[in-house]
Amino acid sequence: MTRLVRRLINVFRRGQLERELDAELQSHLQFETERNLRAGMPPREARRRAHVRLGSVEQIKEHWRDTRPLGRWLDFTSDFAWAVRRLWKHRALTVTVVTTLALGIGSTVLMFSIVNGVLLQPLPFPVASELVSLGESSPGWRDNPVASYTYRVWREHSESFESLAVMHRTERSIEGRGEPLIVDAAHVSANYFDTIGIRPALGGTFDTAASGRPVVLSHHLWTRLGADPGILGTTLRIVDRPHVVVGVMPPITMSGPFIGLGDCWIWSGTDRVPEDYRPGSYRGRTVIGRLKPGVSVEQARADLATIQRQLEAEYPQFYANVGVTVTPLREVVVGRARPALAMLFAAAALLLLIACANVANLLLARSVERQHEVGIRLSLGARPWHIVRQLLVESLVLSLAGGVGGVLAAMAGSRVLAGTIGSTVPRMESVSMDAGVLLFSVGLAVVTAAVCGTAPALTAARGDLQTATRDAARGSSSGPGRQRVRQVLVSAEVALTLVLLVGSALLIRSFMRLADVDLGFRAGHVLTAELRILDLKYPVEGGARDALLRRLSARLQALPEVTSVGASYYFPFSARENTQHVIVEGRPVPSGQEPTVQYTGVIGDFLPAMGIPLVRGRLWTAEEMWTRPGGVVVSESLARMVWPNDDPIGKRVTHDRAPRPGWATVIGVVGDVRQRSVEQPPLPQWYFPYSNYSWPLMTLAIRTTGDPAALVPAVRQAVREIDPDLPLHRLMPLEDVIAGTLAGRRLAFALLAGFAAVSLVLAVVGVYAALAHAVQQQAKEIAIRAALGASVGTIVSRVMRNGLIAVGIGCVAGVALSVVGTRVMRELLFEVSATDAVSFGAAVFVLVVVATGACYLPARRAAAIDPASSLQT
Amino acid sequence: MTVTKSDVWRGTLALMILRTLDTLGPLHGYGIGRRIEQTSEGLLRINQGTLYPQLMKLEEDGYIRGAWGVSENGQRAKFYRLTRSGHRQLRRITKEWEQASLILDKFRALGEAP
Repeated sequence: MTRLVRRLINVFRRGQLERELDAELQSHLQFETERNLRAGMPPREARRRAHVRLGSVEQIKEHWRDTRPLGRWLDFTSDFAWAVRRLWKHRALTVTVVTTLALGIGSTVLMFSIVNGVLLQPLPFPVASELVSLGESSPGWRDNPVASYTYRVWREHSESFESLAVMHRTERSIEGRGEPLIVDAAHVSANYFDTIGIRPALGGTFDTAASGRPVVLSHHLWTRLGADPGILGTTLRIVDRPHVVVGVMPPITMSGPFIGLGDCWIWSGTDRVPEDYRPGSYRGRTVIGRLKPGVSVEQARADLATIQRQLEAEYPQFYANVGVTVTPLREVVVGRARPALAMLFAAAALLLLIACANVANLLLARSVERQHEVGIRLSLGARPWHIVRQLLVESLVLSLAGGVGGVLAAMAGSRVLAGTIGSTVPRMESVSMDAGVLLFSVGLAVVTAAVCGTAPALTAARGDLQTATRDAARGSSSGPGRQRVRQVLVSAEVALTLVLLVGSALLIRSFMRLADVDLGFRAGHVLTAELRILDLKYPVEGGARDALLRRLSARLQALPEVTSVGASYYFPFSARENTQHVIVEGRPVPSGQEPTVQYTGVIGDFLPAMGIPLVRGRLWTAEEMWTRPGGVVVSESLARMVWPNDDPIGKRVTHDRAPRPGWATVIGVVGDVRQRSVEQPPLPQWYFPYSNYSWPLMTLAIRTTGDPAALVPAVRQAVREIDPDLPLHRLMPLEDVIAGTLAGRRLAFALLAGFAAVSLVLAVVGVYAALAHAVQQQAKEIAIRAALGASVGTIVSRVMRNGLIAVGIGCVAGVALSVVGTRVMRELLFEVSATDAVSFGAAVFVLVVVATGACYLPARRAAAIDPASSLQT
Repeated sequence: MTVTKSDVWRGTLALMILRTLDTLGPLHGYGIGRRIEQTSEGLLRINQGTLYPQLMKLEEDGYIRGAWGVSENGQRAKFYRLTRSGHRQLRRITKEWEQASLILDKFRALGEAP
């Protein structure tokens, strides 16, 4: 019994036992030597014989170790302890290597967890791969919203879908619990919930047979309204009409206006459409479908294409040249983020490679110093594998420390990012450090250990006895083979860094081009706000609405520093738009071939408030705007399109959805405006007086001479004075709205520039360290040269030449890599070619300047070597 | 005659160590090795490399106990002494060897003339 206990204890006392064995063997040698001396041998001989008789101490210890229980495994733990002690002794090197690895691994882990969360994680719907988004396509556009009629035809005739639901998203005002709120509402068909596969947690969905207006609330909205469990059956006023709450959804970890995930769902009544419904109605619905199990997206596309062709044959005026698009839902949600994410992931991978190259270089330098020690150990009988194993363990400790540091850095980074970019990147809420990410980073650390530990370990062990002792005596470094490896590593680092720098330069130029784009309006000094007029309180008939709008305009105009006030239904950069077909008097055009234009209704001085210049003609008078609405203002491109050789002023037009019969006269031409985004060119547009339409929603534009943000409280106050129940939504300076649309680009650029900066630092450190170490190793040779009369300049230029050659090779390789690599970025560039010479030139310039500086410092140090003291050692 | 590493021999080495300590009292490792060589009247040259690990094993098994001390000529060495269970083990192994050699003797006698 006690024997077992002793055995167990001895497992942990292994190190101590080994030391005792060592001490006993030393003691033995002393005894034996003593005995030999007494036998008359000379001291040298006595010692030698004693050693020979005993055999190799190392081997005795090895064999003893082999007999230990858990022999091999415990070797690792003692190697581990040894490695930790040694690394602590050389703290500076350890800290440098660990930090470098932490940066490389951390950035890669961070990007991977973002890619994992955004692109790879499944959507929160059951069997999400079956969900698709359907739309129509016309030349130049795809995934357009469809008309209700189209949806019905698809639903009745398609065989590919388990269910097809339709929805259309708007903003609605909700009243009934406290202050009126403006929320994202989706009007959906009754089968919407079954299609997406998520049913309300509280209550149920729409009962199409019942009367009344049912509404289902999102979890978030229910919480905002007080999280009352008894909310079922109560009434909320939506757009002044009572709706009955029939259900509350469970929390869904995703937001997605394009799939109808908003604040509430109202039954659209599409299922109760009368049989004589007309085709060609308003195209504003989004269709979501769940494919039947086993049906592929291609099959569904073919199926719908057939149906669409039949529609084209039946109603060519509405369906000519209109195709069908079927897009997997995941693609819709994350598709736009993919190019940027892919690029950033590649950048992070490059950074990791650079970090590895740096670390390999540093470890290689260290192995040179260990050459002596390794040689002696080999001569004492240590097995080469043992030495390699120790060095590998040391590298593993370094990379695990780097990996841990990297994961911590990535966690901190993701927290920071989630706070700042959560709104820009879809599905950021599902990004987290999960088991997959941890596994990836552990794997990364191990691979890095293998990569970084191999070169130094193998060269260290391969160094045979002769070279080891000879080099140690000479005090000089590695042979030409080792130097070559290090130069290759430096060149590789430089090349990869150049790729990142070029990428950053390309994005910078894209940004500069974007900033130069003329949007067609002047965004500075404009405050925007969304206003919703309650239908029942201010009906169009009787002029109540117009009266309210005039009062509002006047009141806002009266505010200090305000120069002009206007509003428009469709507003640039608001992701809301619609089109009409232009019908020109006296110019009949076959149905379906009329020109398509963007349209909107405007109030007051919208065009001047936005700074859209008047090119020809005039704007509306007060009478034309309010009392007898008439007159249409067209954009330049519309004028060119419809009247290429004529003056549009005075021409009479109407459109396919005119609210009242009769023609409108063109009274003025204004400049073009980029309606959708900074990148997309302006579309032909015309403007009607708002009173032509009865929509209750509009966006205000208030131009001020001062800071628009400072105007916010005054505007709120003014609106509240007119009617405290009017909800005002999203008060924001127009410049912020536009900047918001560029947020994604800015983010991608910031991250890429961050990677590039870090990699530049690493590359510079790598170049400096490599050269400094080479100088140190060649100290004697340099000292000899100096003693022989070489000037400071000669020495400096000699040393720098070696460094600059490596840098030069790296630059050339980097340029070649960049030409290939930046093709990946093409989708992210704006008006800049992927091989833009200016960007390439700038990147090379920066790199060369910085690298030259890094080469200069060690060269200077070389020149300062004092020949006398160096040659003495 | 040089010693080969076999289980049998390791067992005999253990016997020789214990017997030496039994007769001579506490001794350091080097002394044990020298004494074994002397006892075999020069027929045995011990692989000194196996001696010390074997001493450690015996110590782990509890048959001997070691303590660091100083030898007569002022050298640091580890001195071993037999423990009580070491005595018991010695008696056990000795009896086994006696029996084994009796049996082997009979087999050796087989080849000779009746």
